[in-house]
Amino acid sequence: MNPAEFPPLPGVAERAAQLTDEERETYAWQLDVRDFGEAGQEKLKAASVLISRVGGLGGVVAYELAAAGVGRLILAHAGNLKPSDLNRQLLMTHDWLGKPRIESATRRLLELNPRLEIIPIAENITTENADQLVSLADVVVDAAPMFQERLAMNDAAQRQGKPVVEAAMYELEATLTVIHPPHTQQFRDLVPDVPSGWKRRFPVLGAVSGTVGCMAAMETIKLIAGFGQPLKNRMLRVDLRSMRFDMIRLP
Amino acid sequence: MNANASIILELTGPLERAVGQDEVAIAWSGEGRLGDLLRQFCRAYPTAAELLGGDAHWAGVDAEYPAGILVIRDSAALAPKMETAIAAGDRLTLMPLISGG
Repeated sequence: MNPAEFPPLPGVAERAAQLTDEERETYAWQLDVRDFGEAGQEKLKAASVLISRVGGLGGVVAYELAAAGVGRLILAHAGNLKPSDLNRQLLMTHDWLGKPRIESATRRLLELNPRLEIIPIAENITTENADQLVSLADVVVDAAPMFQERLAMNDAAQRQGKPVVEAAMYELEATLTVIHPPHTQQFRDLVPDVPSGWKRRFPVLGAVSGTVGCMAAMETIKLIAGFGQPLKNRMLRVDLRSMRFDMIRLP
Repeated sequence: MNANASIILELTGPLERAVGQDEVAIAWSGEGRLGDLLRQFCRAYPTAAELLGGDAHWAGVDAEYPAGILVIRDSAALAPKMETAIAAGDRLTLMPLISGG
């Protein structure tokens, strides 16, 4: 796949800001990454990423993006922390049980990277808020469990021409792809409506959400910095039970 | 079951869990339509039918392709249409799309 088929994200390069000496020191190890370099780091600094839910999967995406130096994260996640969240939601802490998840996520991310700008939204994505939240971002990461949220967010992203990193998991399996019409098919080509039989609660280990979360963060970084080959028109399927990784060509 | 008189379906995620097996064989001869294969699979494995639209979905002759189901052959997803061509001897992966959380 030729990366030139996929144009750079509009606005990010134009907004790219010079790094400070402190930022050069902080990101020194990644500034040497081939095809990334200081120009890629400046794009990360200028970029905004919307993450739909910062639980087991999205929380790891947010943590990796914060560490990598993305400038602004818009985090959408409703509800208070429950004990059953703690097997996988690494931005949450035991002492925060019963309190808003979004506050714990914000606190943990700023501990890691105090330069980060966070817009915390104590709501999940809906058809009512999707357009506004997507408009704040250059890239969207879908880590939501409910197809209603995913459809609303993908519809808004498509209307605004924004790419969506689609990450998902079940038990020891995970999938990852990038949706960015017209460069790829639409999410609704894969999921025209809410599938039947999908349950809000499903079996999963935290190491699975962590694995796919790290890979989703990498896709986001590649899209922003404009290097590598993002998973456009391809879906990675991972089975961690057998350690089988399959690449699926999408129609 | 004779491979040339059947289609092998590898099952993933919630479908594997619903059926209790990671692979099943569906008796099949010659060429046919993906929609008819899915209908036959749901009849043979009713515990999986809910993930493919439910029993009622397949009751009529004009059922639509179920939302969120990828069928993969030779590492390529098939067109998600009832009329997509399949044939005896195919080895397919039946993959319900999953979510985050």
